[in-house]
Amino acid sequence: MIGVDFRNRGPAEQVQEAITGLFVRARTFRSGLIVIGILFAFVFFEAIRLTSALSNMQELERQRDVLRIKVQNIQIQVKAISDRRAALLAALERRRSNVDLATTIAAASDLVATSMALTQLRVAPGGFEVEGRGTNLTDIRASLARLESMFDGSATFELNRDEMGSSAVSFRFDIVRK
Amino acid sequence: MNFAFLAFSTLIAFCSLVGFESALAGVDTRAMALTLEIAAQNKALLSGESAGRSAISIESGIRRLHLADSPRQQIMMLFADLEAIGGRRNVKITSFRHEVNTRYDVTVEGEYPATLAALADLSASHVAAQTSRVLFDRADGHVRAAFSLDVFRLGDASAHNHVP
Repeated sequence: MIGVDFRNRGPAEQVQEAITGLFVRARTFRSGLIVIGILFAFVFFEAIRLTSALSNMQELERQRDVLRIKVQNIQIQVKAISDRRAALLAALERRRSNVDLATTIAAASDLVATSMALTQLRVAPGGFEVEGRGTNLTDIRASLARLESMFDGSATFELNRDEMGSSAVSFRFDIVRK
Repeated sequence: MNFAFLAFSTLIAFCSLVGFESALAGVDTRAMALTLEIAAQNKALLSGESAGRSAISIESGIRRLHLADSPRQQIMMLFADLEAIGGRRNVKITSFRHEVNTRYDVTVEGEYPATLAALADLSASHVAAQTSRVLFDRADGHVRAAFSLDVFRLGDASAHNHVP
């Protein structure tokens, strides 16, 4: 608080003091205004920055929402594509398995036919069953052993010998695919 | 200029500055998170577009294998294939019977190697058909093979699900 004591002063002095006081008050007022002005200018500048940042964020949110919808649609389409690709690959794999089957039949029947007359071969998923007739038990057992080594599986078989000395063999062979 | 007024104004201005700065920091953080999210979504869009391009070849494969055809069209195609294979391998088709759903029982007769080759030829059929449950009677080089053919077909929902 700036004050002027007019007591014990002459008129001229009092006027001078008064004018000086006014100038001092004016300077103080101006300085105060400048300080407050600068501070509020900062505040104004910050407000503009904040408004701009908020506007920018709203634009980003709008872009994000648009993209989110697009991505959701794309994800649905990608899922459909993925399902169809899986179905196509499964179909191709199933079609290709015919070669495996023919190869299996050829290998098994050729191997067994060296030791017995093959009468029937049933192929089912997971293995096959063979029926045949042979006379030489040693050869038959050797064939089964070779089958086991070839297909990495196990054979369970029945052997019945008839009056003529011929052995009727039927066995089940379960393949463990390598 | 009152000191109290000056102090009060300064205090108000500082408080406003602090408030705006903290709000700006929050907005900047949120904007950064949004930018990252947008980048991730753009990446997902790009990968989706590349998947869309591969869809063309997938659809072509599905058409080539008649996976989306009606059962009637598939039967016609399968029988035509069997006849072609039989003619090529000199194997006779003695029966062709429709069992449940997409299963067909087929019997073929012919020379032993030719019959095996005919079975293997099914892997090049126009229809994706898998042979199973083969009954293979072999005598004196002559073979009768009875087998089940399972024809692969896309489900109704997926068959009519149009992919761009």
